[in-house]
Amino acid sequence: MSYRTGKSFAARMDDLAELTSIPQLTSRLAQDHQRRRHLRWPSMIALGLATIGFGLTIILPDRVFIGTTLLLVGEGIALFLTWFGPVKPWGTTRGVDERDRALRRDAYFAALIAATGIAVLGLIGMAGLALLQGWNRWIVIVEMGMLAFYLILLCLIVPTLYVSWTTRPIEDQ
Amino acid sequence: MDIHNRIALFRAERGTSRRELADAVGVNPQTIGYLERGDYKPSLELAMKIAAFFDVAVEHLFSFQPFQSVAVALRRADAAE
Repeated sequence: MSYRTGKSFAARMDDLAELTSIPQLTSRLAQDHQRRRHLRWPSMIALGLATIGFGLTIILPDRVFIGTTLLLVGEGIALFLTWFGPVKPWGTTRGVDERDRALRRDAYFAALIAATGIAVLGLIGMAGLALLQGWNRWIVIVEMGMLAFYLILLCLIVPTLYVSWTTRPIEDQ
Repeated sequence: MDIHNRIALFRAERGTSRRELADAVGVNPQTIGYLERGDYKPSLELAMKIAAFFDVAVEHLFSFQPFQSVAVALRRADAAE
């Protein structure tokens, strides 16, 4: 507890977080008046870019810059889409009703399945490629990092992708 | 199993907007739209809240069987008389 401000360390950290405007943005996006959009093609583009990027890092392990750039572009788009997509963010309850919760549960379950499957296949594939192509220790570390980035992307984009393609947008009254 | 409903009919009859109904039962207006279109099955709690809002029994609003159209219901009522 600070004697000057009378605020605890946690409260001061909260104030710092408020200064970034991210909590306010998250709260506003979770409100029911915030229009949530079906982002079918943007999410496909983000996933496609990242997949091509990840593939390039594997095909060209000595020139990972090209693949990494595409992967990061895909990841940036995916992060942006989660703010406006049909799935409301985890951890917020404001403006979230029972349908939102059901949708969120199904969407993140789909993401969990996708990420788990790719993680298992990726680890086996990496081990195989490292043996077959004689990757050195540095390349293996970099490729593992790329796989981790790709898995993060899946967790970000699959919920939006899944809900955008499995539900139809509702027209405004 | 599909659950059919007559929310849109009751709402039109009362002149209630989706937002008004949504606010009354504590959901988002989009959820009412998805319910009306049959794309979402409500919880028992939500179904009872909607029925209470319209002051009717739940089975008047929701059914496993498709509801007959208003025209058919009127024709049958006329024939019965």
